[in-house]
Formats: sequence, structure tokens, C-alpha cells
Amino acid sequence: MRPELTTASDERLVLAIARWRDDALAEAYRRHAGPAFALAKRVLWDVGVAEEIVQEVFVRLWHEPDRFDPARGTLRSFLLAQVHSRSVDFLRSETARRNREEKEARSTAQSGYNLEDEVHNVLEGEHIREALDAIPESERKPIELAYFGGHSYREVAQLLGEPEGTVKSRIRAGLRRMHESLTASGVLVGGQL
Amino acid sequence: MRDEFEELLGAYALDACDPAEEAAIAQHLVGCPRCRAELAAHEEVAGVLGNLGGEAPAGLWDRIWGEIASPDQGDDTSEGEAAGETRLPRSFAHPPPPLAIIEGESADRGRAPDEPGGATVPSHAVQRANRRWGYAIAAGAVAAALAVVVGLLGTTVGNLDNQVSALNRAVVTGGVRGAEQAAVADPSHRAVQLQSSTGSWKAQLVTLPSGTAFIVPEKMPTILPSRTFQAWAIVHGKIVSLGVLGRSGQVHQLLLEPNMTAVLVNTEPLGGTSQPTTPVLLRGNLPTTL
Repeated sequence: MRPELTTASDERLVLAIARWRDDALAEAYRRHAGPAFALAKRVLWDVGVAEEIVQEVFVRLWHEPDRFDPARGTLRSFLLAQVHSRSVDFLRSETARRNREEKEARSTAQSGYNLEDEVHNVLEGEHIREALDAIPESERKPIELAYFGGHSYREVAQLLGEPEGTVKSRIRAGLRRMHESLTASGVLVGGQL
Repeated sequence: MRDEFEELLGAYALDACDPAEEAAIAQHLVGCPRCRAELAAHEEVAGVLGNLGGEAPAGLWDRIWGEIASPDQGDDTSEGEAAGETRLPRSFAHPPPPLAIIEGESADRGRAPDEPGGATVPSHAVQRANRRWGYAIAAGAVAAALAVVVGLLGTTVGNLDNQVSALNRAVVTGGVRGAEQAAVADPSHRAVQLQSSTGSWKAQLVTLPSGTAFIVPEKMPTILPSRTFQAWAIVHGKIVSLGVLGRSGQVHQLLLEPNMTAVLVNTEPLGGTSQPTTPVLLRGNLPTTL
């Protein structure tokens, strides 16, 4: 690998990938595959499928690097969004749903969801915990079930016994509140809601 | 109407809408900068939540590499190429120039300035393959070719003389199995490790002084149904096909070429090709005493 790749920005890295530089793809993998795999595994509860989805996302980056728009966020955010979306697609297939429900039932019996536990390893963990603390349980729970559980807001409404309209409003309000908190703490650079 | 979409933006950012809603929101976003801005903020939060950290599992990169090295893009071999004929990849005479990152350029393949004259970009895999294999042959002399292959790909190759434990674990079938086991039992046999750049994929080459050889897969990636593994040799700086190995992990018998100095394995369309069209998956050099 050329030395400059290890310090290249995401944008330059993707440009190199666009020119069939496989060492650039390797560098993108080195930087982002770990978190991508962790997210897929967390949503899917299946290491094998998680690996397949991460593989699919990186292969897609190789074939379609122009899908990444640096103006819309970091490469990691882009890849994580791809991983999450594909993981949710998989979960919503019938076969996967049955497997997920079985695994979820076992896991929930052991520990249950805990959004704050999910973020304990990240660098900004303290600020994220603050952001989570800044939103009430009624907003945190729907976000947690939707994002890490892979449930649609309609499913979340059923799980929580709340009206669908209430759930989607609470997800939106919770994300807005978290954005304000994360912006204030410097984790996010800002943006208007 | 916009209020309805706005209410869904949070769920949309978390992939929590139904497909019909997702399609409607996506269409709405095209003409609504206000909703786009709100969605971008929600996605920022989702990106932070999803950033769990951790390590990727061992071997995953090799699977990715295996897939991009063997895309199902059809056979690049022309009908005029007789089976077994060996020649250099088409673009070898004019390999693409070194790629450089240029500050300020967009990630746009169509405008990549390194492509001479803005020519149509050739098949992704084939161009990459030609770079790899072209480099391997361009060195001319066998030793130099091997040095380039090893240097470029970071290969670690090892001569594992008489280390037959892996062979005994291999899944083998039919008459070839018996022949291979007989070869292993022959005290004059030699065993050479073939492996990928990171060591995740492995096979062994068992050779006899007669020139008979067996490739014993140990750990191979899953490949598309339309692909097959194919073995190649480097002989006097040229690539020579040793045969198609199929898709499964079975033992295959080969006949070694005189003066060959390395064995390479890649993936090709079913039926094989007369020239390599994808990068090397496994490689191992042969000791001169073979």
C-alpha cells in the first residue's frame, strides 16, 4: 500500500477506489470494517449474516464508489447506513424474522436491550450517554427498538402498545433532541433541524 | 402533505418505514430541501448510534477480495483462442499508468484523468487482473517475475516438505484420492503450500518426481456457481494453464510443466480460460529441486 493512503481523507480514498486501487479499498476496510461488522452483528444477532452484509457493502463500494457523497457525511456514516439498511432488509424477510425472533427471545431473556450499553465502546461514549439521558424513556425506547431491533415504527407501536402516530413522533422528537445534545457537546458539528 | 412526511423522517432515518412509505418519502425529498436538511440531521444521530466500534472478523477481507477478484462478468476469452494456448492479457502491452490521487477531484470514474483520452473504462475486473498478471510476467525472468508477484501481493510462501498432516485432513474423493494418498505415502513426494496474501485461503501442492501433482484444497472461498478455480504455472516467465479445478474442495490431479517455478490459482468462468482474467487467489513457489 502506498504510504499516502494511510493518511488520505475519506474523499481521496474513495477517489482512489474509483480508479480501481484495491489498496484504497483495503484501507477503507481497515478503517471502517470493524464498526460496520459490529453494527450488523448487533442488529442481526447472526455473525455469519453480518459478515455477508459487510462483504456486500464493501463490494458495492468497490463497484459503485460514486454513491458516496462526502458532502452528506463521513465514509463511516455512509457505510454504517448501508450496513444498517441491508441488515434491516434481511431481518424483514420471513425466514430471517423467525430466526431473529428466536434469538431475540433468548437474548432478551438474558439481558434485554439497553441502548446505553450499546454505545459504551465509542470514543464519544460519555457525550452520547448524555444525549441519551437528555431524552425521556418514551422516546429512547422506540429509537432503540427501531434502530437496533430493526423493527418498523408500526412494529414498535405494537410492541409498546402505543399508537403508530405517537411512536413516529417520539422517534423524530428523540432524534432531534439527541442531535441538539450531540451538537452542544461537539460530537456533531452542527446542522439545522 | 409535507407534515405527514416530516413526521416520518425520524423513522425513515432509522430504516423503520414500510417500503411504500420509503418510496414516497424518497420522492418527496427530491423537491423539499427543508425535509432533506432534517433528514441529514437525523442520519447524523443514527451514524453516531451505529458507531459501535470493534474489530472485523478474521478472513472477511479475503472473502471480499475473493468476490471482487472474481465478479461474474462472463468469459473474456475470445473464441479464436484455442484451449491451452497461453498468451499475455490483452492490455499487458499497454498497462494502465500508475494511479495517483489528485487533490480536489471528485470520485467520478467517468472523469478519471488517468484514463488516457478519457477512453471508455474497460471491464473492472479484467483491468485489475491484467495489472496483476501483467506485472507478474513483465519481469521476464522467472526469478524476477516471482519477486514481483511476491512483492506486489505481500505473499508469504512456504515450502512444507513432507508436512502431510493437512493432506490427511483434506476432503478427497474417488480415484484421485487414492492416487494422492499414494503420493503422500511416497517418500520422494514434496509438498508446497499455496496461500492467499493474508493466509486465509490455503491449498497444498503435492508433487512427485514423475511430474504428477495433486492440489489439495484446505480452505477455499465460496465462489459463484458460474465460476471455477483454475491452476496456472509460471514457466520461463509465461503463464501456462495447469487445468480447471472446479468449484468444490476436492483434490485434483495435475501434470507439472518442466521448468515451472510457481503455481498460482485464481477463479475463472466455468470451463476455464486460456489466459488468466482475474487476480491471483493462491500462490506458492516451487523449489528448484522439484
